Amino acid sequence: MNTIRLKFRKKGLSIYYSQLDLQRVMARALKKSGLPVWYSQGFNPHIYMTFTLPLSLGHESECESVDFRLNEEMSEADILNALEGTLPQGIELVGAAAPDYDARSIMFAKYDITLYGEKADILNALNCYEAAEQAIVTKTTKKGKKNINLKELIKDITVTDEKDTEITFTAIYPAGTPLNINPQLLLDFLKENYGIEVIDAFVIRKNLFDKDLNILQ
Amino acid sequence: MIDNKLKSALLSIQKPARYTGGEPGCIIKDKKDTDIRFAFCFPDTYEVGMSHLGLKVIYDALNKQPNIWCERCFAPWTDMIEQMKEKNIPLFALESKDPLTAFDIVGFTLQYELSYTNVLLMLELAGIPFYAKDRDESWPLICAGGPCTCNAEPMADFFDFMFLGEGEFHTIDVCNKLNELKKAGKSKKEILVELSKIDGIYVPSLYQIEYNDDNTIKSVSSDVNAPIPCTKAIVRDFKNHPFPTDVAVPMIGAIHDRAMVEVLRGCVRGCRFCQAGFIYRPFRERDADLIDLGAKELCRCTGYEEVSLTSLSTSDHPQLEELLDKMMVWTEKEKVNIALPSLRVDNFSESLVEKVSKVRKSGLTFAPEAGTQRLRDIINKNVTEEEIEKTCKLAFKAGYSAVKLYFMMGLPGETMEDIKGIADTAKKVIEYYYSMPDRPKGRGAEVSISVACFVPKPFTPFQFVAQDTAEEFKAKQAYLLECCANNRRIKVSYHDSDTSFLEAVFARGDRKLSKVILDAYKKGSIFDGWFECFNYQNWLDAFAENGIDMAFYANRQRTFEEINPWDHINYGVTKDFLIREYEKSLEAMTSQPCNKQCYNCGANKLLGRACFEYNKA
Repeated sequence: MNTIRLKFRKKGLSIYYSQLDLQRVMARALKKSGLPVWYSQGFNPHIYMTFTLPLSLGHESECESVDFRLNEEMSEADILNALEGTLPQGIELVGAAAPDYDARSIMFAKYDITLYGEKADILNALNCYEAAEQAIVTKTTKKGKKNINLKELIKDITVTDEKDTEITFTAIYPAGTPLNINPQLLLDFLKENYGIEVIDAFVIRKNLFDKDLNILQ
Repeated sequence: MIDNKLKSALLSIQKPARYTGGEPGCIIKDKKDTDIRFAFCFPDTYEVGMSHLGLKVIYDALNKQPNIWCERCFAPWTDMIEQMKEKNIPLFALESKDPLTAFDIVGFTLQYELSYTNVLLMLELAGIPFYAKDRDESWPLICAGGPCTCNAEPMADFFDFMFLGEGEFHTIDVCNKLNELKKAGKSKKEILVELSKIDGIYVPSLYQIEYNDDNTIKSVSSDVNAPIPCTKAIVRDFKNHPFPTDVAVPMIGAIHDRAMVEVLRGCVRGCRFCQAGFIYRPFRERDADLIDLGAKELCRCTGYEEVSLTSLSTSDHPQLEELLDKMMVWTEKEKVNIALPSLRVDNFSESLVEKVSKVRKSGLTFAPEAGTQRLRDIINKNVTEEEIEKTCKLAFKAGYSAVKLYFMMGLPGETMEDIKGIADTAKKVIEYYYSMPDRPKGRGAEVSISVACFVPKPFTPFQFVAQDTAEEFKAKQAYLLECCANNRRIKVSYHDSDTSFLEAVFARGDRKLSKVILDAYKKGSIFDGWFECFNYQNWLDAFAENGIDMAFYANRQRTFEEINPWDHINYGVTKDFLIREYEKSLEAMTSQPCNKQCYNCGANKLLGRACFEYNKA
């Protein structure tokens, strides 16, 4: 039995699939592919799958992956070939090989956020945030609500692209099992505290990192 | 494809993937290469519409034509409606995201009466005028198909034409004819007159209806000699007719989220309350090899792990056991589960239950429909108490412990004794369970009884009868609960009589109701089939304001001589046959399944031959 990590991008129409939908998407694709996939051995056998780090509905990603098991040894090219045409529009396969890192080593994720609105207002909001002592938001988890300080947690906010009505900035957020910060928390904070009128905001997950900020890829 | 306006709307709502398309199996064509664009509209949510096999059949049939592109469109849920109105996004089809106004034909499927307001909702969101008479050549042709078109007179003013019967062929014929007529620069009226000459195409505006003073119909005529009666279309060689094996698979789930194969069409039973049992006649089954190979291919293409053998009565397929044997050769290996959704109590054999339960055990559902033998004879549901006993025992022996029983109340000739019979039947089922030494251990029996309010429908022997009033239904429901009280093994659920009343009004309604539907829509009625959206008061007001008595349509016994709103439409079964069956019901006389004995219903004329080889048996 071989564990395979299927790496893919989630773009276009596929960003509207929730994590739960994505499980169905992948199970159907693996079934359709005819690959010798390993099934759980219970009363109700199903394809065994683990997603490395769940992604919010509506966010794009360059760095998604899911692990599953094969009963036979197969080359990367053969696996990708078998999966061709089995996935919905927007899911782009990148690779299929033995996992190169343990999912538990994920500690950070980099997101690009593009805001549509008045350039000056957005830049001003980012500057105010930069100058602020602290940025307290309420995070809702399964265990309840808790207050966290975004200033201590989000690193390296950098504006990467400026247009009249469109600003893109990048930043690194805690990610993974111990603490996961959704970039939406920062967006909500900026909107509420600095009165920017964001018409739209689009989010892309770019990379995953380990505790020393080495890219996991 | 998805512009920023739509993207922004999608990020503000629940389940955005309802509106994005892009599922594996959906068809994208280049619009430059197609002559006719057809928008198949399902006036309910994506999850409901994507459960519908008819959509997949028509989508497949049309898209197999190189010059036609068929796309899908569903009713947006309330959150999306708000976004579309706020952001000025016209209703679009999922594949191209083009607005419905960019299509040549916009076709709605009418599956149930309570979806009528959603048709108006979708037209308005697309910016299309409601009434057919207000649309000139610049608008798409707006049409309807599905079971309700056997009497969609209440919606007649909104549609340019309707498809009667089975759509596999005439949807294609209409597209090709329209292409030809458009290229020849014909007017809308000329186009409609030409389309009315195609088998199964009904153009309401070509028929004039006159009324008597008592509001019944005086006459139906056509000034352009449109066919009277207008006859439905069928697939004559259903046995060898292929079915879709690669379909768009919803990635966000659907109500019925499994591969579906229609194994037979029509029904031999002739249950007198059942509209489907008459309007889908004649009975035709599909070839077992065709089903087996197609089902395998369907599962391969879609990745589904369950395949449902659907029909009105799957166990009436003459080759069912043989078919299951064939299918189990590959389903077990591929980990595919076979579901048989409509089994009959009277031919549920031991080997059949074994075959089904080999794959996965769940609850079992039967429909005795009525609680006493006398009433079952009246409705011609030829099921005996012994058969219910035999079947339940078989099922319990095979490891089932939960049984669901479907009943109706308000059936013609029903008394309180029959209501008590529903409770008695459920109690007996529980007794059967505990009388068996080899029952499943460690589990108690559970019987759920679900009781619907009977709605008399066109083209059934009960099309003449009055529906029970809300008061009668309430009294019967209360009595049933009383009869089941103190039995925790019986769970009772029943339908809301308000929606059944409305359904009865529209089922046998006429063209005067178009205005009422539009008025109720304008008062905010949409998604009437959804408990959380249904607003009965809107409807009561809309009827009152138009001076229309709902009881005239629902609670009135009709004479045989009365011209019904659907009498100029021909679904194969003749009115004479329906009268004969109704008269037999008054004597509690049953009829045999029609593969055993022909009662001359008339549907064989659609086939052009006898439906069965009677002398062989």
